[in-house]
Amino acid sequence: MSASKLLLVGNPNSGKTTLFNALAGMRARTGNYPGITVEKRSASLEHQGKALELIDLPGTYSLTPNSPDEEVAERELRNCPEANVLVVVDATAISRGLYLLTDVARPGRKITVALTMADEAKRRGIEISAQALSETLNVPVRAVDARDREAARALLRDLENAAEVTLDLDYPGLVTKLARDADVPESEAARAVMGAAHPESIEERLGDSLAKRALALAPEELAAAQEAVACARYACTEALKSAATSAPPKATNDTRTEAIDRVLLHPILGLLVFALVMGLLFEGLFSGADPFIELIEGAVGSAQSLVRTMMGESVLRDLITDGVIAGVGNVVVFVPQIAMLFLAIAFLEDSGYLARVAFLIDRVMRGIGLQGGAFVPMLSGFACAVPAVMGTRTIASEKDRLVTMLALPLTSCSARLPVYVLIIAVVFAGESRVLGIFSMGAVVLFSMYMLSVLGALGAAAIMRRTILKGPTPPFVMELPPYRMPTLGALLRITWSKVKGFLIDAGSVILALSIVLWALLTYPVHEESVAHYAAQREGVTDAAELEAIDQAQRAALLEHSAAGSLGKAIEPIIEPLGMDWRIGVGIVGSFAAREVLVSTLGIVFGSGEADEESESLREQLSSATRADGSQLMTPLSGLALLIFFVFACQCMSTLAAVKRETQSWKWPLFMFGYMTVLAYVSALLVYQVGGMMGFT
Amino acid sequence: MRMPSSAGEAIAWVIVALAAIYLVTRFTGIRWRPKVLQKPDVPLSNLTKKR
Repeated sequence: MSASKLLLVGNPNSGKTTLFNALAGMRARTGNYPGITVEKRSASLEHQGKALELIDLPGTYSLTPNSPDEEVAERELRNCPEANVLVVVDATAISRGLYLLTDVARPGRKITVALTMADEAKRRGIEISAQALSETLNVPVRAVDARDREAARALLRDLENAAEVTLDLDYPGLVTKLARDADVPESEAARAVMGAAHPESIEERLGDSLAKRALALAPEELAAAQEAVACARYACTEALKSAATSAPPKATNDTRTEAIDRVLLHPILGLLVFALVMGLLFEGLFSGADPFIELIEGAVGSAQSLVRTMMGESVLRDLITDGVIAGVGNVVVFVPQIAMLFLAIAFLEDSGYLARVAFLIDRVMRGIGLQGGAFVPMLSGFACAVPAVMGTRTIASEKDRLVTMLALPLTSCSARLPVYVLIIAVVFAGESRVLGIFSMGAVVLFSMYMLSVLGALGAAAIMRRTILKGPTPPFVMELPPYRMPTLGALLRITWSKVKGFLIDAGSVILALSIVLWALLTYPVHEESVAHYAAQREGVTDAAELEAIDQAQRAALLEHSAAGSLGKAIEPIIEPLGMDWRIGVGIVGSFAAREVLVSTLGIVFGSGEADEESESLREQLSSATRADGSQLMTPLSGLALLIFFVFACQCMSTLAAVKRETQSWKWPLFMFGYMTVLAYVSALLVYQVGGMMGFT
Repeated sequence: MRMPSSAGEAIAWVIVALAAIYLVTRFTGIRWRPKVLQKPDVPLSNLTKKR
């Protein structure tokens, strides 16, 4: 027997996913701004001995979808006419929630209502009686704290009493006529009238006969009918609200949220606060994680030494120490910083601040031809571009959505962080403090993030004016109230992201490290082996022997498969200030950016490391080119950083764009323009910097 | 092609081969077991499509 379904429907940011998590005991992503859920998510429950499929839908304001995520919600409701529906109504914005309820209701549809954020409404002086609302609607209505599992479970008990809602909707005559002619309920005819605003999908949504009748209406007649339907729904909503609200709301002109917004949404002060918040975040990331990094570096070094002591000299030992531990260990070293970045982003999101940033940035975004809504997926691009690409579903305009999707991989994702931190620590360590507060490393790190934002905005602006021209629709976004995030929720989000990173490090990076070690070890250049064996004859001095060993390792590395590949691409990357060893790292990093760190760990580790393991930072600092000059200088480091800011080195992102656009054209275009941009920018920085006398 | 000179080297070769197979299957999408294909629930419609 198939499970019965329960669909969670509600406005964006009304707490559906929090409720879903509480009901299903899951940990799906939630946040304090609209548009977190962009696709349906389901969980199987057992309720009173019966299977129940719980489905969380993206937030929507009505069933006339304006964007792809709203289409998901509309389609699921249409395809599951038998399913129970749990309408989640935010008590602080009850009118909007009840408006959606008037659209969701239809003959035969069993509904229950969950009133969320009732405590917050109470603080604002809005007293809502769930019982009064239940009596008016004739369906169960329960006020719940969406985070409370037991309270949420009580909602499931209400399902037994789920019923059709009783609504006093006074639809205009045209809707009544349309319903009679097409032999459908009035609610269906009203949806057809409202849906005629989107003729491209109306047939699919409403069926051929009803759609044709709605589209056949004269434009003036249709506009008047749409207004009348909206008015009828609002009148019904207001009547419901009056019946359920026992006291008029207090004057809310000066709530805490509004007081904070006066500063944070101020055109100048707001931007200053944003810059300060970001500055502190990067200072924390750069300086705060240092002790943890040193601790893990120490552990990685000890693990290598331990394996060297336990195993005799062999190829297998080299694979474990120079391949597995050097590769994976050097990426794991950056987990503290990644955790701190995710924790900070989660805090800013859940507090409601990031939604304000989207509002502040809307002005800038409009200047380049994008709406502020594009900023929200771009922001999630700082964590990872893959969910951010999916997050563009909240954008109504297809061209806006495509431009955002193609530009957002330029924002610096967490995988770039290990690369930035490593290079910055090598070339900018020990520089003087800026303004006496910020370390030079933090300033360079902040600059890389800013550069990535400018790059993303610039790329979007160019695309909007060339290949993807079109008008920019206005941006409407609901600003959530400020909330103090709970520590548990923040830690859960951070842990799930770090776990994802570690699993990635544990699979792709581990496998790549092993393969790369083989490519750096084989084929064994027998001539070099024979040459250095001859040199060793008669030498007894330990230091001299060590020098010969070192030279042999370097020669073998250079003649290995990866060494030959690096040498082959060296002419291309030499003008950027890089040598073949960095080239090997860059080639590997096209699978995933953080692979650069593991690759450098293996390349520099197996070529130069002796038994006493040095950290990768130290190895890179002391590395020299063939002519004896220092490899990593501030200028070559900067060129490498800039290459990584702009380059498209993530197969998962390309796959996500292919999936969303249903074509290889756009991911290939994205890969091409980002790679060219990265190469040209790094080239300009290194060559022009060199001409100006920088080293 | 030269043969592995020791048991340790042979084991290392097997590990490398397994890692390479893993990477190829991961990045090409080749699977040992067939997976139910999931179509995206919201495809971006073809921009060149005339309405």
